[in-house]
Amino acid sequence: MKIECEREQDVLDALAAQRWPARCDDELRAHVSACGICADLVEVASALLEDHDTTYHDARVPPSGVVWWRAQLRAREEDARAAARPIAFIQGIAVSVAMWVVVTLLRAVPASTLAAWKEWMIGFVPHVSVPVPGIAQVTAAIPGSVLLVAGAALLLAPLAIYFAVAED
Amino acid sequence: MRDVTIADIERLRAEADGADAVFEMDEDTFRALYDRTSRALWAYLSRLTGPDAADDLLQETYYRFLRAQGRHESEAHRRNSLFRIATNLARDGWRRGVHAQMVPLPDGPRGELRADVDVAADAQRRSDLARAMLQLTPRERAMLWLAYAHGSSHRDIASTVGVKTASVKLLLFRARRKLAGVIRDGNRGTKAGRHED
Repeated sequence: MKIECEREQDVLDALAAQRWPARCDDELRAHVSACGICADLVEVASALLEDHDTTYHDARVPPSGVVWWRAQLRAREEDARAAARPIAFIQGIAVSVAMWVVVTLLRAVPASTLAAWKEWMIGFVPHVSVPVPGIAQVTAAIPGSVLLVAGAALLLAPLAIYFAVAED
Repeated sequence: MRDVTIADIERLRAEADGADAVFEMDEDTFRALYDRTSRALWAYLSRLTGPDAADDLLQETYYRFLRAQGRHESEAHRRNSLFRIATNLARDGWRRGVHAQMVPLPDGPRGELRADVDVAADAQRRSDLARAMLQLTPRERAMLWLAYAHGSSHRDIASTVGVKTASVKLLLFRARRKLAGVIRDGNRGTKAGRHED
């Protein structure tokens, strides 16, 4: 199947120069009327050229200065967000590690010492009697599986914070 | 996109003053490039996605162009980059289900009346063409516009729409034949309608 014609460029030149159909030679007009490829070309290219001219004329684009400043502001905002991402990540890690350290230390302290601390703290509020359970008892009562899940959550928290900030 | 007032420009200028340059291209070079390319780019985006989406995509295209920090050997290379970014943005819109809209009839400032043009006939032709273009795939629309409205070479078309240069001739031939058929069918329908009246 023939997909091109050697006169296509002549037809396009005539259309671009606005010589088609009145001001181009009879031979080209005769060719177009006999050639399906060039007839399609005239149909399509003339419609698109005309539409382009009108659309180009009607286009209301914002001033270049506005586009420039908007782009600058947006770039700066994106840069600031990108810079904040690792900071949020490090903060998440720091909080997770701190919580782990606190829990581990509390579990490591002997029950007698914790009871002594409790008595010492209650001594600051002598008139109030609150039944505070031993922290060691509380942490010891938590099953290991729950602690494992909590640990995993603490480790994943920084990643979650990182991606949450990244998606903003 | 709402119109920008002088107050907006002054506010934007004040907010941006004193900050370091964030783009490789300087403002004067950008503004010159924008003034040379924005109308043609808007026309292209308008035909691919409709005039409303074209407003937003125009700004986005220039932003991504500036952010890309690419080295461009020539003006043609820069233009080509812009059209490639615009095509990709429009393609993302098609994937998200944002389809091209009909070209609106002239109304308000966008379609200011021109004395030298038969406005009704012009609007009818544009509306017919818009309807015919909707019968094509987005890639066919892009290729035809680049080839015949924008006058791009086959090589530029290939790099803009992401096909092999050797395929452009055949793809253009098919798209052209399809659009010509739809336009002729539309013309026949219009003439038949007039006869019935």
